[in-house]
Amino acid sequence: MVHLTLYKNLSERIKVDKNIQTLGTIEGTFRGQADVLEPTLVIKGEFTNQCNYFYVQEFGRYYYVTRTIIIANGLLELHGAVDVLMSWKAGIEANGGIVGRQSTQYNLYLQDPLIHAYQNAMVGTLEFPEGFTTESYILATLA
Amino acid sequence: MYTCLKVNDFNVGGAQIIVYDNYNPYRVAYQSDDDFSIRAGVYHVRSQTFQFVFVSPAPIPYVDIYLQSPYLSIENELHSITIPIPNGTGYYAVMDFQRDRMSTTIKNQSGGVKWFASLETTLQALEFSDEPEPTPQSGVVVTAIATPIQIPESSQGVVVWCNAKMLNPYGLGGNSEPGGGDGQFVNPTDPIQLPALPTHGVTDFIKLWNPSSADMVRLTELLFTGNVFTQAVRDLIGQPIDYIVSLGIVPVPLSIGSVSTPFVLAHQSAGFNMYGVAQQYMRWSCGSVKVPPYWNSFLDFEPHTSIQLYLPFIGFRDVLPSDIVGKTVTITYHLDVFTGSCVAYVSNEDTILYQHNGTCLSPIPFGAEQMQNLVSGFTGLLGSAATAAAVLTGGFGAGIAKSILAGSVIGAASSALSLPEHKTQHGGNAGSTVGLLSSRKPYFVLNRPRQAVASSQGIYSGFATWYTVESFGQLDGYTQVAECHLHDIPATDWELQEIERLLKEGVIF
Repeated sequence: MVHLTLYKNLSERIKVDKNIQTLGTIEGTFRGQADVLEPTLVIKGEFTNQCNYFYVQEFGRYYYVTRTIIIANGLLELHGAVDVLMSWKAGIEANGGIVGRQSTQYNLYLQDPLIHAYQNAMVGTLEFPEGFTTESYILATLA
Repeated sequence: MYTCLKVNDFNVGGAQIIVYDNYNPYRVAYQSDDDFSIRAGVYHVRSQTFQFVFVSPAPIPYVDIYLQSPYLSIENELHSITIPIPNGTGYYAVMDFQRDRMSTTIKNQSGGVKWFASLETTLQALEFSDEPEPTPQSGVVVTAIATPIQIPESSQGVVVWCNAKMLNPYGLGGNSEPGGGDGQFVNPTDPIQLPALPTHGVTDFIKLWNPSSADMVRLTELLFTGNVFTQAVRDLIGQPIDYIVSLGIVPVPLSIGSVSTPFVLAHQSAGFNMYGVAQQYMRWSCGSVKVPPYWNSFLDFEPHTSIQLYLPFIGFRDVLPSDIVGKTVTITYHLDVFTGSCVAYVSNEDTILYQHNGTCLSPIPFGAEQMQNLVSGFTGLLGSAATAAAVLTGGFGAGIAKSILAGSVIGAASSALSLPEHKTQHGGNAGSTVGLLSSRKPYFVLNRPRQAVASSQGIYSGFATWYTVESFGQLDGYTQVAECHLHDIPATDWELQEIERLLKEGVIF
């Protein structure tokens, strides 16, 4: 028997700290062997399409709902896949490293392979202010 | 008479040392085990000479042969001989311990030298007096013949052992070593100033004049009629035209005196005045411009932006955007009004970065033959009178512009949208008469990309960056991690790999 918290997740899959709305808590049992990373749990409750995310207290992990199977007698079979970002959010944010792309901290002088260009390039001209405006005859003679 | 051999332990697996007693060459005095684990000991050989054969199943680059005779009280003195052994079979490295071939000396207890030896490093055929050659076995064979010299019988004894080492076969070329990283981090910024004009010219020998249009008419009368120089003068000096060195047009006002002086030819006054040119060399400034960046990003620089510079009397030349963009560029010419040679100096701030040369004199032939020579000589090269003038520049190069990879993903090494580069010729050389017909002011031709960036592209894919962040929690928005070593996360191995994969593909903090 494990303790689940059911959520509705509206965040992007790649969001580390997800915006989740609690739908309720419930107890569940494992269908077959207990897989910490891809658990299959049986819970008692009515199906709702609001629940796409859950947390298993005993595993300390958050999961995406990958499948929901309605079993008879008010039982649901919940299949989940671990969300490593949300589950280990604190550890991830405490780590550091070298950043290669960022939406707010960037350097435009670095080559960016994701910048496209149109076929029609721009051509400009910039003239210097002075030039050769006169002409003179020059004669060279033996003295 | 005995020769004693002492063989120390070896440490190369699979190799053997076999010691033959030359008293009976077929008698093996000693043969080591297959694993080359020869125990130390003293081995007696019943002759003054002995051989030892070193056999290895694998190529051994060299063998150290140590000789020591305890009977001569060498103490700790070791005499090593290193012989490079070719990687192959059928060759023998021979050590001939004869008097003149070994440089090793061994002293006896009384201090006298008893054994002279020198190292023979070249390959020799195995030398036997009447013994057959030993059959080489697999690997490399080393055979040594030792002949003790001047060793009293009572103290005779030779100790031999070998240490075989497996070397790096590339070792003769030296092994790798760490290096680098100790740069001085000094980028010299010496200002390269304009050079001074030359001080020596032709004006001590040749007179330069600046004729007006009216003077040109008078000159024709002088050269082609008898109205100026009398016959007597002509008889004295010959043809006046022989004293004309050159006539042409230059694109600058000449440095002339304040007053005109009598025009003389062959020291004969022509009866009219003309202004003389005081300076053969001149400096002419075309001013400065500042080339602003358009995007203020990597797009403003090579290879995405290309810049050509048109220089009067020279033509189009490529310049690097990184030398020009955002900088104040100054162009100054040095001219030789006699030969027409000109040099354009392109300065970035206070340093000359580019220097190109051309011809600014448009010659005026003063005879049909001269004109014919001018044109025919050049058309003969190029087959076209229309291009003849270009050859007057002294070359027939062309400035080439290179357009950018427009329409492609800039920076992508292998984009499906990549197009081949286009090389565009903006013009040929612009020297001499062509220069007079061409633009007289320098100008840049800037070929820049027109970026196609989606709105909110930063939110979806970020922009390029490269820096170290102590904790990812400091970041906000889309992030792609280039390198990280995750630690202090008590997740399973699969989860850690998954976290790293997601971080490198891109997450949102």
